[in-house]
Amino acid sequence: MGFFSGQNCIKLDMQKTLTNSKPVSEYTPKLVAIPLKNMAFEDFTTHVNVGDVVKIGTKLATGNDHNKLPLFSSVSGTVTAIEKRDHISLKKTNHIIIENDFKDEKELLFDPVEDILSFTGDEIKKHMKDAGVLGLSGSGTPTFTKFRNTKNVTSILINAIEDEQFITADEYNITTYPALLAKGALTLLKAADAKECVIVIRESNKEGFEKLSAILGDFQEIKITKMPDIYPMGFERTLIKKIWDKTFKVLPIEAGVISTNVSTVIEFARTLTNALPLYERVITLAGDGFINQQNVKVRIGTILSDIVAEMGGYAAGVPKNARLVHGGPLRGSAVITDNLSVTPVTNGFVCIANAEHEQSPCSRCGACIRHCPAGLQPIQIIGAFKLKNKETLKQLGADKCIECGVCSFVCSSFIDVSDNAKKAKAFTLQK
Amino acid sequence: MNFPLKPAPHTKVGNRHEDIVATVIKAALFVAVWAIYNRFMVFGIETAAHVALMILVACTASTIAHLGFHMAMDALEKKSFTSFKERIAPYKHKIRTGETVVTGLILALAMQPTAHLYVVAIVAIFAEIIGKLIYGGYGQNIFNPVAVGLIFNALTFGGTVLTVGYLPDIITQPTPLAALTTANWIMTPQELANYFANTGGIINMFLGTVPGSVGETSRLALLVALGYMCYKKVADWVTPIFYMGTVYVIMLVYGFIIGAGFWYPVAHLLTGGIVFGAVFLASDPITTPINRQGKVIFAVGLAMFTLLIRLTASPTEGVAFSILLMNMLTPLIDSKTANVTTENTNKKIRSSAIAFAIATVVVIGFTVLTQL
Repeated sequence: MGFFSGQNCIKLDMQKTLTNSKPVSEYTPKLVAIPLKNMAFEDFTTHVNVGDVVKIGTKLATGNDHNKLPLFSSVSGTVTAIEKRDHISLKKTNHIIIENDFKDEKELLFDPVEDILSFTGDEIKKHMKDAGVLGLSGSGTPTFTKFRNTKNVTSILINAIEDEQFITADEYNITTYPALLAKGALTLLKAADAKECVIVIRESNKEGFEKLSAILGDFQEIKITKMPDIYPMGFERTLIKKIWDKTFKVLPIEAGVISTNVSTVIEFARTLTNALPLYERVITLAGDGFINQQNVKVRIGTILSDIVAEMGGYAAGVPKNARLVHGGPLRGSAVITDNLSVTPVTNGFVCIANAEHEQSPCSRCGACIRHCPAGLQPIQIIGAFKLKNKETLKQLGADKCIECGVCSFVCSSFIDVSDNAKKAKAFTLQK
Repeated sequence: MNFPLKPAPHTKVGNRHEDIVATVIKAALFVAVWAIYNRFMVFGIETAAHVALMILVACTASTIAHLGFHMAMDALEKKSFTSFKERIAPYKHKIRTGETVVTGLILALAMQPTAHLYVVAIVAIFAEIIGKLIYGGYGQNIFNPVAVGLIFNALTFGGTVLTVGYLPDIITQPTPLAALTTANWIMTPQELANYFANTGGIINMFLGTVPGSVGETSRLALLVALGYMCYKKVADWVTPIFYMGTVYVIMLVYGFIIGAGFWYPVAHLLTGGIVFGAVFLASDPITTPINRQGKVIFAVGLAMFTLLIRLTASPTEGVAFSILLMNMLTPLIDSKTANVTTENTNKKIRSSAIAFAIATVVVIGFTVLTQL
């Protein structure tokens, strides 16, 4: 924030009360479709064939790279097909379709122990890898990759900000399972051999803060820090700069910090307790396109259209001019159909009933410049990018864009500023 | 169910294009209503009615110019329409949001209340077409359309004083600005006190119950309008405030040099179109630099040109001329301030200070030289 740069953030109406005060309903589907894909990676070897009987926790497939990411069944039942279906990435992807027999039989990964804190650091890392723990914030990075080389790690950052509009899946997890979060944080500290763990939480999430502080009073090494309700706040870069005043180039580990999402920690603690991989999670259905906006606990692989039908369907007028978004409305990606399955990284779907705006010429109002968290001049960057003027782009710092989407969000003329700024960044970084 | 595909983000906050136009119109209408009420209280119903008619004519003329221009363009491109309704369909939205009247409205506020209605209409049409539409319309113009209209008015209809038959004589008495010009801008504290007494006092000049352009006289209404536009985040406060501030500081220095005293800069701010120019012309985002550093340099340069024209040349439309001069420099300022806004803050402060120093030296040096 400064005279020459403006406020460098936006204050949002977070719209969290639409879903965070309502009870969570549970939905168990008749069939699930487990996508054989994580991030852009889709080279998996399947271990099951059509007709095989599987249980919750049966390994279905393993990735063919050095990460060896395993995928598990989220229901007990029979594999009915392995076929190409629509995926949240908009590409047709192989899915393993399993028909649920509602017996909920389980196949354990290891023998459960009474206290998960009795695991050694190496055991924790092994289970993390074997259970295929993923970053649930939306990135989908296998979590154990962050714990590969923990020599320089001093701190662990647990990101409980959830600065997106509408989405309250993390908030639900924090307020419901604070004890699991504390345990998970302790196991991560052990795995990384780090000294301190900082949980950052939104100022307005008062209930979560109270519940956490009540539990964390006993643990000296875990601290909670409140952050103001502004966007963007949940970026690793912003947080690490704010808490430790450190910067890094590519990964936070360069600054001695391992950063994880709060739901990842909670689900990992649950995995260690139950000896079961992640098979169900809470997702948020919000936006005026849904009749019932609420959090739902679903199995991984549940088809969205089934959930929506169960929850009361779409509001009138959808899908004309509507938009369905996987994730929050700021950083999430629009999807073209609701015939998609829930993946581990799905924190919610937002359906906006009327999202059509007519684009008009730039009125040079300067809103994108005043709000850019990186202090850039997005509209000038676009101008220079159109002329392919690399020199000016460098002066404008186009390569410093953090791709938060604020510039498009505040644009009075509905120009796709951030989309073009991203392209300009890629162009600037090109040799 | 299938959905359309669009890039993130998927919701919006803040002003939309229509909101910006609507806010400016509301601010200008507030000034207009105040101006009509003022004229009614001081000069009587005829003057007030004439002012109201001027505003109405200007708005109508600019709307007609807008539609006419686009129809002419359609005709040139040999587009065929089945009905008049279909012909104006693309512009319905613009008329509803007020985009077509905003130039005419502000232009009417900047004109003398002695203008003939047909002059107002011609000037508004000229401003709308030559100032805005030939560049491609809203957002594409490089010159402020209102300033273009004012210059056109000064050059074509300004030479002769047009008086309207039914208006009382009082309205044609010299404006405070003219009174100050005849004194060649040099005054002793005593002369300054007399001047303020003759023109009705500082309070009246601030409230606007003195002769002058329709919307320019009430500085209070203009500042309220500026506050409203800044509160709605339509205008950035930096350009108007730095503009008026620079005028104030340079004239304070100049006032001490010529021995006119502490109230001298106030006389400058309370006469002519400086406050009006700051509120409605300098705050226009389209024709001014886009980042804060550029806005500061723009405002300082604007103050320099305004004072130079005022003190050494004719005072007629000095603000409009300086706005056009700085509009020309806007692309240059933008390209020279192509940087990261959060970095090198000291350098930015230094550049603003240098601009300010240059403006002060040029204005005072030039003025003193011409008076030798």
